[in-house]
Formats: sequence, structure tokens, C-alpha cells
Amino acid sequence: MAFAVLLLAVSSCKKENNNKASETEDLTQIQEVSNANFSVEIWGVKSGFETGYNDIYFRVKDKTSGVYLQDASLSWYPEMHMMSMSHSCPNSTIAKMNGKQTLYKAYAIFTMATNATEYWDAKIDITKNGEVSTVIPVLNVVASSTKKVASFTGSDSKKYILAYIEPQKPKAAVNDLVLGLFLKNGMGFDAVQNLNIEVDPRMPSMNNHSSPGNENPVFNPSDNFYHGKLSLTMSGLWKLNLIVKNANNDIIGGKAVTQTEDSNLYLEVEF
Amino acid sequence: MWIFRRYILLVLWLAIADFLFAQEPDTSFTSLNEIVVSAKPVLDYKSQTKPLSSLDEYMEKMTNVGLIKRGNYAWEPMLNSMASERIAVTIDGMHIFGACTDKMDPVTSYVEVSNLKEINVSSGQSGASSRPSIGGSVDLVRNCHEYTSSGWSGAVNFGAESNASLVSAGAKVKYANHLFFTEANFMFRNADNYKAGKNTLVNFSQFTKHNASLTAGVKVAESQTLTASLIVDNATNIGYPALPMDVSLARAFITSLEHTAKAISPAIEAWNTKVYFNTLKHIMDDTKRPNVAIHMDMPGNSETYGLLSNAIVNVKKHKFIFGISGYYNRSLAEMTMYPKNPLEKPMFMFTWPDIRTLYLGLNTKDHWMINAHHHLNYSLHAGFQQNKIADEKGLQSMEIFYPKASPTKNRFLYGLQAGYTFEKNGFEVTFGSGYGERAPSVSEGYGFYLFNSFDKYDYIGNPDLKNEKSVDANVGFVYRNNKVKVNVNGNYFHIFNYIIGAINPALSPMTIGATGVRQYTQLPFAQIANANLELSYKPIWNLAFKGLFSYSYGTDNKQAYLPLIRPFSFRFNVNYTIKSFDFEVATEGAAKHYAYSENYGETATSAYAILNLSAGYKLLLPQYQLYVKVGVENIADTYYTTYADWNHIPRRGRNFFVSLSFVFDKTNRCH
Repeated sequence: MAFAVLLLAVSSCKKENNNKASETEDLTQIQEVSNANFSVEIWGVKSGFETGYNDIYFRVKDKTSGVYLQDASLSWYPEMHMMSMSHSCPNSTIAKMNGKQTLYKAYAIFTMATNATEYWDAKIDITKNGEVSTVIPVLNVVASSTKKVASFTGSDSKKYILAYIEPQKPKAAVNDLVLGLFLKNGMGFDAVQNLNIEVDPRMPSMNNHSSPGNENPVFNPSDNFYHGKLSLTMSGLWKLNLIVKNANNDIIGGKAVTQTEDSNLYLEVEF
Repeated sequence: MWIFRRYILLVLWLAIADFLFAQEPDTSFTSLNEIVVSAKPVLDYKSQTKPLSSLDEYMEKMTNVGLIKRGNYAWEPMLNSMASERIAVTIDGMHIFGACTDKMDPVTSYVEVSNLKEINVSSGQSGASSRPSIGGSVDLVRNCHEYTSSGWSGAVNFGAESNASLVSAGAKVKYANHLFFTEANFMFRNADNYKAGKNTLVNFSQFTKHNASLTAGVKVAESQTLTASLIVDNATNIGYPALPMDVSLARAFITSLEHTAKAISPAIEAWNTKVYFNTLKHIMDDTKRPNVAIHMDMPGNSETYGLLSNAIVNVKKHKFIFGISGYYNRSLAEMTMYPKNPLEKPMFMFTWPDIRTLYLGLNTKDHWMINAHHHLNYSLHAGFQQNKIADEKGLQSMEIFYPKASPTKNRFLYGLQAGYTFEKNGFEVTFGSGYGERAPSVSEGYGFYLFNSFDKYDYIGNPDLKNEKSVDANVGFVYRNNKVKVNVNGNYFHIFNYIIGAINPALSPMTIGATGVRQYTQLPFAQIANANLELSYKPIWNLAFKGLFSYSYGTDNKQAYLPLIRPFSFRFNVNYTIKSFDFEVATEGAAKHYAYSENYGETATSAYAILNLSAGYKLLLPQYQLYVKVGVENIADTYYTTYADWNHIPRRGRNFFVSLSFVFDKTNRCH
């Protein structure tokens, strides 16, 4: 029996070793923060955080055993600390990733970049065996080279955030388009599901060339995002001119593109 | 040779050359006798009105041939009022496909007159042997060698023209014995901007071209030869005044290896097999243009591998040709545009997304000499064509327009034709009919935002196009005696599934300045008819009058005119020879082009006529010949443009030319 347990331990250990590389394959470690018990690694697709939508990955190492936790429960609260106030941003809960042993994932849509006096941090609570342990890393957010998030006050006087989520790797093809639309609620944000988004992709450098075969995104409750199709006929900078309407077809934000003017509500994608 | 004879459309003015030179014993190094007998359009440049003309200028004088001009270089040939997509242009049967998405490099732009012996023009299905076509085929036949003479021969040519300061210089040298020959040929041309009539400078019309060719052959057995050939053509700094872009480089490598076996058996007259490869590179350039909306690079590449094999078999009164033809082409073109804001990334797209075309075909022809007066000829061909989008990104881009686009498309293409000739007492009557099919061209099938500066639309290919099909009929009547020749001929094409671009108002143009987007689609039918009248009169042996009158007509299924259809046009020549001198007065012109296609951006062109004069002198010695020609074209410096001038760019104004050819032939006839 003891032998069997030992064997199991060895094999599981081996398995973990084998998986170590693949756990964070294609990801880059952005930073690491620790407290007395745990060391939290923060990983991303890029080497840092940008304004707009970010997939953020976490691994938590038990400092005493040196083992990455597989069964912890993580929660977080990203927060912008401004001169006179603080606020959060649209984000998801942190969840263990399917098919991974030690990797946890969340997203955050940073609405502004870090500057000399204003910064983001995230309070991360690690719950293991009923005990809560906290780390608060400062997150350095740089401005994205293209506009990936738009904040606007709607004609209904509510404050919204509209974010570009997919395609993260755009192609000259029909891409799956995912946008996130959020309504400010106190210091937090709620996903909006009852509005309609119209997308008019244009290339400003090509005399506002547009593409066929686009499908306006519609709300999908599985991830609370809006899903549609985005055709890009070539690489380069595309401006997604946006109009947000309610069920009565009243414009909440944005306007139609004309010969002389684009929509005041837009996002960009460049590849 | 003369099996081809009735397929060949006689070139009027070349026949004049026949009159002039047929009197002379042939002492030049080309086997001119044979050619004169076959009455083919001979590219014996020494005997032309303007020796050292470009191949384009030669072709322009041919009946039923038109040339679309986008500048002073690389004119696009049309046959029977049909352009590149509907005709097959080959070099010695080899398929070559231009590398430019905007048709700035037709096959004919990659060879030189000095590379060629003759041009075989076959109308309609009579020429669709090695590649399916609708309008016919143009085969540029290279110089051949007969292993009958040994020693050195060669020529040095020089030409200069006042307009565009055009300089042409070339040299040719050949060594041969009864087992081996090798020939090297070089040609250089350089032109500045030309001047249209009324002293109007046409900017961006310059070009520089170098062409070198090397051929070597060896007799590997009695009546069997092996011939290797290479043409390198390199053109640079080519202006296209009718287009928004120029070309910095158009380069071709054209190679072949041919095995010929003659008189294999009493029945098998000859069997030729050829493998070939050619690669074309074409780079467009807008860096010299002022006020470019957006700077762009547009390189294009085309590579073709091919095989041809033909056997000529005589069975009683039948002369059969059995052939197989196969080629594999890769066409890839792309466009990168550079935004004015340097922080923005360049914009890239495939305009030809790495399209692979495989064609395999079988063909057979029979010329049946029923008796001295009645001849019948017929042919059949069948082929398989596969198109494939080899680049995954290209397929994904195509899916924007055609969500169900498949990476491959297979087609079968068939054709057949029959013709009859009756000949008696100088009268000749011919008539024939054919059915043919063609696959869409790479641009028609897969082109991506190809800007047509003529109608100002971006064109999108359509991979779902069906085969275009044509039923054609032709009729001809010839009367000739010692002094007079009359030739009336006409043809008619009824084309089903006619491929043409249709405006899709839902699409947004890509090119800055474009009006909209057209997608290739198919009309139920279109019809094209061409008619020619050729008259020649030779009252005395050294005086000849020639006239050619042509008219074409083309409409779509709604009776709207098709674009680029020739209006009534004419050419008239008088030639006079005395001793070693010859003189020519020629005039050419066209009536007003009222049957233009408004839908495709055409506007009317006015009637015009121009007058040309030339005089020649030749000195013929046993081993040396000297040819001198001087002349003036468009004497009145008329400012004019024709139906085939892209965006109505004006043609050349007054032009004085001189050309000198020195030929030496130190060979001894072996036989």
C-alpha cells in the first residue's frame, strides 16, 4: 500500500513536471508578488498590460512546499487609484483553466493607462483550506497603440464602456468579432445584454474603405459578450465605427459614418 | 507547312514585302523561301516598312489583331476583338502567363522581333489546340534551324527615331555545321517620353528594354534533333501614361528543351516534344508620380512549367496532328500600401492569392485534302483544368466574398471545329464553325481588388464562374490572279456565360479614387462579329496598291455595346520598287467610334487618318547585305487617339526614323 502511494506520488510529480512547460506555453510572465505564504505569478499574452481587454493568468506557489496550488480559490478586485477617487474596471472572476493543472485566468478591461500619479492595483485573495491570504500587486498598464476601449455617456445619461475583445490575432479574412459592453454601476460594472451594437469597419488611410460580410455582434449569455463577424480585406489599421442602440432603435451612443464624419464612438484594430 | 495556311490571316503589308522580295534570290540566312511559299506573316524584319519596329508594331498591322495601348510599351494584343482572357498567346506553343494583375505585361512584351520567325494567328477554335480559348490563338514562332549550312552568319541592326529619341540596337551571330548550331541574339531599346501630335509631350511613356536569347541545337541522330533555348528579357523604367502606376522591372526567363524527330516512318512525318519553364517577375512603381494618393508596392510573379508533344501523321489524303499539352502555372501577386501616417502599419493584401493552375489536354486535327479543289479540316480537343488557391490566407480573404469558396476548382474543357475550303481558278471559298470553352483567368476567378483605371472600378474575382462557351462561324472568299487579289472574310462569335464585371453597389472600393466595385459575373450571352475586306492590285511587277478595311461589332445580351470593339478602320499602301530602292506611301485611319461602351467607361473617339512615308535601299552581295530604311510616320503630326488607347492617351505624333541592317552570311550550303 505504501509502495502504491509512493508510486502514485512519483507519477503525479512526474506528470506535473512534464506539464510545467505546457502550463504557461505561449504566455509571458509579467510579474510575481508574494506574501508570507504564497507567491503569485501573473502571466499574460504580451509582456505587460495595455489599456483595453487583457487576458490575465495566475499561478500560486506555496512558499513552504514549493508546489503550485491546484485547488485554491482566487478572487480579485482590480482598482484604479486616482488623485481624488478610485474605481474598478470591467473584469471577470478568476477561474481555474480547463485542461490546466495550476493555471488560473481572468480578464480585465483597463480603461486608462498608468501615469505618474494614477495607478492600477489588484487585491487578490487566495483561499486555501478556508484560510484567506492576500496580495496586492501594482499593475502597470500602458496605453495601447490602438483604441481598444471606449467610455461614453449614453443618450440615456448612463455611463458605458465598450471594449474590443476578439479577434486578438486578426487576419485578412472573416474574423469572429467579440465586443464587451458594460454599464457603470457604482464603482463596478455590469455586462449589458439588452442593447444592440452596429459595427461599420473602415480603413481611414484608404478613404474609409469598408468591407462586406460583417455581422453585427449580438449578446451571448455564455460569456456575457457580444459576438459577430468582422471582415477585414487587408492588413493595416481598421476603425470600427460603432452605434449602440436600444431595443426601440434609439441611439444610445455613436453615429452613422458619413462622407465627412466618422462615428464618435469607435474602436480600432491594427495588424 | 501549308497545312496551316488557311488558318493564317494574311497580313496585307507583308504580302507587299513578298512582292518586293520574292524577285530576289534568297541569300539571307533565314529559310525565307519556305516561308514565302506558305504566305505566313513573316517576321523578316529587313523587309518591313520600319525594320526594328517593336513586335507590337508588327502585330498592329495584322488583320483582326488589335492592340490595347497603355503607353509606348507592352501593348496588349486582341484577336477578333477579344483580349488576353479570351485568346491564347504562346511562344513556340509554350504557355506563358503575364505576372501583372493589370495586364501591363502581355506575353508579347517579353520577346523581341529578332527572336521570332513568324506569327501564327488562328482564329476561333481552329487555334485552340494547346489551350482552350474563345477568340483564337497567337503563336509566336521562334527561328528554326535546318542543319543545311555550315559556317558563321549574323547581323547588326541599328535604328533611331526622332520621336521619344528611341534607339534600337541589336546583333545576332550564329555558327552552324551539319550536326550543331548555336545562335546568340541581343537587342536593346531605349525611349524617352514620346510626343503625341501637335507637339504634345506624353509624360511617363519612357522605357528601356534588353533582350538576349541563346539557342543551341544538335543533331542527335539522322533526322533527330535536340534544341535548347533561353530568352532573357529585362525591361526597366517603363512608363504607363494611361495608368496610375509605372513599372520598375519586368523580367522574364523563358527556357525550353525540344526534341524533334522527322520522317519516323512513312506515315509519321514528325514528332516534336518539348519541355519548358518560364518565370516572370513584374514590379509596379509609383515613386515617380506626383500627387500619389497612397504609395504602394505591387509585385507579381508567374511561373509556368509545361510539356508539349505533337505528332504529324499522314494517312492517305489526311494529315493528322495528335498532341498533348500540359502546364502548371503559379500566379502570385500582392499589394502593400504605405499610409501617410508613418505610425500606421503597412496595408497588405494578396491580389492574386498564389493561384496554381494545372492544365492537361489532348488534341487532334486533321487536314483532309479530298482533292485538288476540296479540303476539309476538323479538330477536337479536351482538357482538364484545376485551379487551386495555395495560400491559406488567400482562401480566407476570398471567403469574405464567397463564404463557401473552395480551395480547388476542377473543370473539363472541350472544343471542336470544322472548316471547308473550295479552291478553283484563283477562287477560294472557305467556311467553318466551331465550339469552344474556356476557364476564367486568374484575375476573373481570384483577383482581389484589381483596379481598372479605364472604368475606375475595383474588380473582385469569382471562383464560382462557369466555363465561358462560344459557338463561332467564319466565312471567307478570295479571288486572286496575277494582278488582283480580293479577300473578304468575316467571323461571328456567340459567347455563352460571357464573363464580365458587374457593379455591386453594396461593396466599397478599396482603391482611392475608385468609383465602386465590380464582381466578375456572367451574362447569358454576348456576340462579337468581325469583317475584313482586303484588296490588292499590282498593275506592274514593281508597283502595288493594297487596301484593308475592317469592322467589328460586339454587344451583350441587352444589345449594349461591349468595350474595346474596333470601329470601321482602314489601311492603304502604295509600294513602288526601282532597282535597289523601294518606296512606300501608307495611310491608316478609323471612323468615329460611336459604338462604345458607356457602361465600361468608354467615350467616343473621333475619326482620324494619318499618313506615313518610307524609302529603302538595299545592297545585296553574295556574303553581305546592307539594308537602309528611312521614313516618317504621322507626317501631319496629327493628334489622335483610337478605341484601343487606354483612357484615350494620344498616339505618337510625327516621327522620323532610320534603320540600318548589316547582314553577313559566310555559310556554305551543306546539301
